[in-house]
Amino acid sequence: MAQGWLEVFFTKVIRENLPFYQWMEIVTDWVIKVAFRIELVRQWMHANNELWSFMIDWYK
Amino acid sequence: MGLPTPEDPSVKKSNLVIIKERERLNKLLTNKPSYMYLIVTLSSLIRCMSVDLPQNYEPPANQPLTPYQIEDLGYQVSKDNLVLFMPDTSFIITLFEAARKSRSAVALSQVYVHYCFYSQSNAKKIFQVVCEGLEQYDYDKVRPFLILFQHMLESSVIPNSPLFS
Repeated sequence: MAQGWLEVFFTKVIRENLPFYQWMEIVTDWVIKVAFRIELVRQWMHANNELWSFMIDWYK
Repeated sequence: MGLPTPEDPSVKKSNLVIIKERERLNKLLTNKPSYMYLIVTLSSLIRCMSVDLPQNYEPPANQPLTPYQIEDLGYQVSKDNLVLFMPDTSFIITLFEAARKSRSAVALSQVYVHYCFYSQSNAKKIFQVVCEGLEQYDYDKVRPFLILFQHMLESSVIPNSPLFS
């Protein structure tokens, strides 16, 4: 289930909020913190690079 | 927070202490009580209750049923109280939105993860709370929903979780 949640979170929730800069800053901070702390999130992000790499492009 | 220390009647109190104590008791009788720790207290109470286990599932012995269980005192949330505890998603969103302090948000997250740990439908409902909360509120009010999601992810990696992992 957690993998499904992460997919929805990155592909739906975050994508819909891309125009909101402060919202994106808060959520990006949270993503970095959680990825450091929870191995499952790290592994999921490593395996599904294409689903969240838009966040890196967003910061360019 | 701790249990109050029993008073020693042989120790003489100063007038200032007596006046302060009188004022405190007077406030308790007249003013509305402070609800600072209400959510934390409710969270602790519910985390001392049993949760429904899935059929044919035998939990590991000598281990708490969920990562946030404090103690199993053998009580369960009654149906009447369940209506208040697990209402419609929009009400739970309001509850999390009101939990501005980290302490309250953590307590709420722990109790909801504890209650939904073995229930797929309830877990979906809680994830809906996360998604809708993040979509509805602006950046300064989304923190409680991120705290809830973090607790869900943390508990999903626990090996004895039949649902989350």
